[in-house]
Amino acid sequence: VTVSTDPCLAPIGEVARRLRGGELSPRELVEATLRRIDTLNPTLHAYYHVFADEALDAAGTAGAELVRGVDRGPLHGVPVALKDVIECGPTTGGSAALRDHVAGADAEVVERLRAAGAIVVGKLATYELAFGASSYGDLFPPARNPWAPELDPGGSSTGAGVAVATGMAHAAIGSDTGGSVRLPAAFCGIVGLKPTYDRISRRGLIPLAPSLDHVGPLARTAGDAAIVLEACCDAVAPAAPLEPAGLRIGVPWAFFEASCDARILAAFATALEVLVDLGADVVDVEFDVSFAEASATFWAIIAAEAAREHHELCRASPPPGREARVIFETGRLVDAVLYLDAQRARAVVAAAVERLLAGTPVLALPTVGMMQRPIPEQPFGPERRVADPPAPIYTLLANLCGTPAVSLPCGFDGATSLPIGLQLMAGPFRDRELLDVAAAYEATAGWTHRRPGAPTT
Amino acid sequence: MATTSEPAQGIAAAREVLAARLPDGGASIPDEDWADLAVTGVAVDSWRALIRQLLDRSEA
Repeated sequence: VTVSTDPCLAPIGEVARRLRGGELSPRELVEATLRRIDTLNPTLHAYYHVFADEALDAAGTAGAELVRGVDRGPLHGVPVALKDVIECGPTTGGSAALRDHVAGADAEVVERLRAAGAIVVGKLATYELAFGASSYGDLFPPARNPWAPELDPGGSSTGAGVAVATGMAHAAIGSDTGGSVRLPAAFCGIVGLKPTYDRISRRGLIPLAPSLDHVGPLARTAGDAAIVLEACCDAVAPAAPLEPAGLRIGVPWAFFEASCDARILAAFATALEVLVDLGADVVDVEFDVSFAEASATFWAIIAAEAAREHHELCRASPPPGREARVIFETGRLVDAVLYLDAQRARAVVAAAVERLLAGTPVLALPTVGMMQRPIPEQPFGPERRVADPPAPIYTLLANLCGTPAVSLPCGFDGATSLPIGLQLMAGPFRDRELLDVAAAYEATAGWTHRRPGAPTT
Repeated sequence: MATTSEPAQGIAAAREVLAARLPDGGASIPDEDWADLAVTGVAVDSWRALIRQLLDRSEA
């Protein structure tokens, strides 16, 4: 399926033009989005809560403002949705332990979206507390991959990936502690940005591991992600532009090559060829940190910090599910010396990445080294989270460093037609410039226009 | 040859070791979680070794 003139699938810039040209009203756009949710959500389960009445009211207000000449910018009248760890109305974190929780106030990112005129249409599915993966045995039905509904859409921002890929929202806000924005983006064939650490406020985010947690947008194009990013944070002084022509792009092959699925490596190699065709100087770079070392560093920190945040919740009735609960309990086994050593190791990793970025302002690597997997019948045990060798989640590198990283589609597996993600990283506060490189790539590669068809199961 | 009681004995032994590392002796952890913790407890030790390996190399 390719993008049509359907306003639910049109780029935000195009929608903004039509809203201002009188071809489309915010109410018509929200009504179309709600119809799409009615059609798709019973199968794909992207949304936990749909704010239909509130969204229609807000759309009416947005439309009246446009008529009066009040223009809040490109998100004015555009439907967006929130991962259910972002405080706004009912906010469960996808956990039975929080199933009755209602936010006392909106998260800062929600305030900013509303101020920019965006219409919040609902709350989106998540792995439990942004960590424990979904199963059919959960309290909430798991979100399903729109390219193959028996498969997991990637997480933890599962519903965000699904809703944006299928036009049930123009963009979504997720959280990313080790890849939770970029992984569903890769698995659902869209764009996901983990911005620079704290570039988007974490106020009102249910925390998982505060020193690793990031709030970031998911959208169908890099340009749309840039629009959402700019609405969600204060402007920073623009850095030197990054354009593919003449840009040195480093590829730390040793970090990922041995653990990466051959189908993903093939798509990644083709993506590098596209970047070369655009004029980039793509070079191999040596990175003196193994994936196993980075992964161990990440796990020691996330387990300890998540234990700090959620250990008390483990005593709730009902408690969190098995996978999340056991990792929260495991974090209590990370003693102070190990946690501090992990933070020192993190500084070593960050310094190594900084050295690479000094010579090659953009790094390229696959988003994730494995293909989409079936949704399990029952919750996972902890084994896969602590596997040796570790799961090939290359996203965690940017969480350790706090640098911006974006995942964007770089092809589809020939046998399964499942999307594959390319990850690009840049130096701190170069989020916008990184998205410019992503936009240049996607304009040439053309994968952005490919969208999943209607689900059949 | 393994017997059916060996896994339970292994979990009980792991529980004893791990509980000693927890401030409350593991009192707040339900019985059904100890088999999983026996797995993740080993992982914590492997994280420690890998982190030490990285730090030793960086400080060399």
